[in-house]
Amino acid sequence: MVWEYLKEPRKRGGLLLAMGLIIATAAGVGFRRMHQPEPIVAGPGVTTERMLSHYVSSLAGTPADTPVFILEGKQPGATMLILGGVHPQEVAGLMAAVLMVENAEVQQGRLIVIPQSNRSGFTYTEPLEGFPHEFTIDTPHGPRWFRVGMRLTNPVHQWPDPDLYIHPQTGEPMVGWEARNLNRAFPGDANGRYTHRLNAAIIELIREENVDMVFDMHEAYPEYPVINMLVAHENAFEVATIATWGLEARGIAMDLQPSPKLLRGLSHREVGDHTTALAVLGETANAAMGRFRGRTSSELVVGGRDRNYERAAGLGRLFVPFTEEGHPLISRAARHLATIEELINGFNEINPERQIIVSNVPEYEQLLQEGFGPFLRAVPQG
Amino acid sequence: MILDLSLLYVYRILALIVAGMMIWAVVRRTDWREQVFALIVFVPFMLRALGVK
Repeated sequence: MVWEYLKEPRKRGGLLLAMGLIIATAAGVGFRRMHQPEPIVAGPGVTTERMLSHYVSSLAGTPADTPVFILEGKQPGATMLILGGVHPQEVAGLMAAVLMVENAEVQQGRLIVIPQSNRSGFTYTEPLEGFPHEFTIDTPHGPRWFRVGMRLTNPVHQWPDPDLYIHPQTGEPMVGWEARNLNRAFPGDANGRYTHRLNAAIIELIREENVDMVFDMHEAYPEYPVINMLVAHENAFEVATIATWGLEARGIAMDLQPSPKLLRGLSHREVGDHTTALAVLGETANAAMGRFRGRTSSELVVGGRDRNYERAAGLGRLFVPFTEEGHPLISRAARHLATIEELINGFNEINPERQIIVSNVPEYEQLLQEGFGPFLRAVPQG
Repeated sequence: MILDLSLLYVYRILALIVAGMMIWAVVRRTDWREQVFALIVFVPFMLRALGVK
């Protein structure tokens, strides 16, 4: 009987169309759900919470607007800006920023933290790559979920890409999609396209809040040469050198590279050139981003273990050691947090008259032993 | 910005037209393969027309 029904073209067409509408509705709901940002709970150290549109009003009400958390000490001192999620696929930066917001307390000076710098990039994943949309961390209060995004601004928010992207301030040509890359568009333009307005707001924040030092947290695939490395503008080389010494003394291997002067639009270059802030960028190794990776799952994002990468390491194809322990998210986020601590130590050593003093930052070893759970707060219901 | 937005909306209107044509093909074509292929095209173009993908 069903067969007879399907043999009739009009009836078959109606059935297929109903199926198509069901599939489109289910997929549409899934895509829309990705626009819901993960909850971030302001810890006791957060003194002010505002949106980035406070600095460039044209961002207000757009998907680019993103929360800014300010942790201010009672004693005056210097100000450090911590950027996570400039590339939303590089989730260790997001997690390190979340740990700072939910735990750190400032006694002297100020910390300004933007966990989801390119919030639009958290709202999609690249087609045909099989990326998970989110991952979950177990905490004593129950599971907390976090978004896995993509490197660029969502094309739903900024489209079309030019064939060739010309960095506006320097004329450096790049491939067209880099027009949606927040870390190729500094210093930005308050009246420009979506991504450039976001860049301009971050630069305006740095100027308006008199930020002294910026740390931009990234990740890269294990076959990339710039990994477990700090990249520092020449104005920040002294502080970054002291930070790498401090990290090495703690058994955390970290290299240092000067910011190339001809590579434009990146935070470590343009923030240093266009503001008075010391600009440093850090990279950790994320196996979920590389071309050698196996099944791309939330387990890979969180666990950081991949047999293909173990084999690639054995063949000498990688720039970091890769054993069966892999590079778990907790160790990558802990590395970023330890770098923040050491950058602050370096800054304080050079500027003893206006220090930044922070407590309650989860310790590197403590994070490796206990995981994220004890350091993530309960999300208020309702 | 206005040019970008105009292009985006032109794209969405074109996607809506394609999705509409696919509905017509699913309902009116007599070969089941053509109907299924039209359905496969319909889903992503409908999502693009709605601006969620």
